[in-house]
Amino acid sequence: MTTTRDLVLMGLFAAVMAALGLLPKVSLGIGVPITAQSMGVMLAGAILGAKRGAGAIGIFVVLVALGLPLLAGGRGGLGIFAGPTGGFLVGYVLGAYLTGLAAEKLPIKPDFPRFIAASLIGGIGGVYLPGIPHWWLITDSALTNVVLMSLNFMPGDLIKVVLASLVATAVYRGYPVIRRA
Amino acid sequence: MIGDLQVPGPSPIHAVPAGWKLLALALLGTGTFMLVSLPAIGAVACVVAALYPLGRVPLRHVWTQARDLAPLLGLMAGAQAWFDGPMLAGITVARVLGLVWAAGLVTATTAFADMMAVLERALRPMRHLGVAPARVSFAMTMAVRFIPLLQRMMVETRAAQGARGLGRNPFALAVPLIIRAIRLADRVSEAIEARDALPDGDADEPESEGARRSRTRDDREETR
Repeated sequence: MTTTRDLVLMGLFAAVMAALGLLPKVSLGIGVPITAQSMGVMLAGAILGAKRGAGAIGIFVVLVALGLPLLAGGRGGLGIFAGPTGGFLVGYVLGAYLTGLAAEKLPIKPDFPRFIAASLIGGIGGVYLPGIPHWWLITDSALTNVVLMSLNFMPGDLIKVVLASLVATAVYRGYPVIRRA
Repeated sequence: MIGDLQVPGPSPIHAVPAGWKLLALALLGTGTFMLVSLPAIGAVACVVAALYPLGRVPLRHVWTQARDLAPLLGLMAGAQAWFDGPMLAGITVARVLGLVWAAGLVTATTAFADMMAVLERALRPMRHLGVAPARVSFAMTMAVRFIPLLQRMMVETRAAQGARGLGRNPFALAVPLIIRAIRLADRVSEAIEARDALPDGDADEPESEGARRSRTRDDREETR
C-alpha cells in the first residue's frame, strides 16, 4: 500500500530528475558525455527503494513522453523514444527498480559497497536490458555492432556508479528513507 | 522552460485528436519495419518532414532533431555501411529519421493536457490490476508542480557551490538538492495528511483541479 508520503516522494524525486537535467554534461575524453540524469536512476533506487524509485523514474519518463522538455539539453517528447536511445529511457524505470531491490535485499552491511553493487545491477544491467534490444530493433543492424557501440558508454557508466553510490551514502546517512530487511 | 516542445496552432494537424495521432504514429512505426526499400522509406521520411509546415511547426525542428541524432546515427550508419553495405545503412538512417520526425510532430502539435488526458484514459483499465489512476495522477501532478521549484533549487545550489569552487562537482550539487527534496516531501505529505486531501484508491474523481492547485500553492508558502 502506498502512503501519502510515498506518492509525494515519487513526485518530488521525479522533479529531482528534471533538476539534474540542468547540470552541464561532463565530457570524457572519448567524446561520450556523462549526464547526471542516468545517475539519478541509480539514486532513486538506492535512496527511495525499489517501488518508490521505479515510481519516481516512471513518472519522469512518462512526463518526457507526454512532451515536457525535461531531458538534459531541454530534450523530450515522443521523438526520443523513436530514436536509437529510446530503450534506455524505458530501461531507466527497470534500472531504478532493480537498483532499489538490490539496495534493499543484498546481504552487504556497509552502505557504500551495497550501493555500488546495486547500481551496477540496476543502473547498468537494468538500463541496458531494454536499451540494447530497442537500439538493435530500431536500427536493424548486427547485434554485435550495437553491443560494441554501447560499450562506449561503459566508462562513463562506471564513473556514475561510483558517484551515485557516494551521493546515496551521504544522503542515506542523514535521511534513511528505505528500511533494510 | 516547460512548453518548449509544443508549437501553438491552429493547424489541420493540431485539430486531429491526440489519440488518433498516437495511433497513426504506432501504425507508422510498425509500417516502416515492413518497408525494405530505400526509396520507399526515404519517401516516408520526406512526407513526414513535409507535414511540419502543414502543422505550422518551424522546419528548424526537423533540423534540430536530426542534429541531435547525428553523432550516434552517423556512427551506427558508418558501421552498418562497412558490414552490410551502404543501402542498408541508408535505410536505417531514413527509418530512424522518419520515425523521430513523426513522433516529434505529434509532440509539437499536441497540448500537454491532451496527452495527459489520453494517459488517464489508458490508465483506467489498470484499476483492476490494483493501480489507482487517481493516485497516479496525484503523484504526476506533484512532479509537475515541483519541477520549477526543484530546478530553481538546482540553480541556487550551483551558484552557492560555484562560489566555493564546486560548481561542477556532481557530488556537491546532488547531495544538498536531494536532501532538500526529501525534507520538502516530508512537509508536503504532512500538510496533505493533515487536510486528508489524498485521493483514495477507489475514487475516480478525487477533487477538482482548482482545489488541488490552490492546495499546492498553500504548501509552497508553508515550505519556504
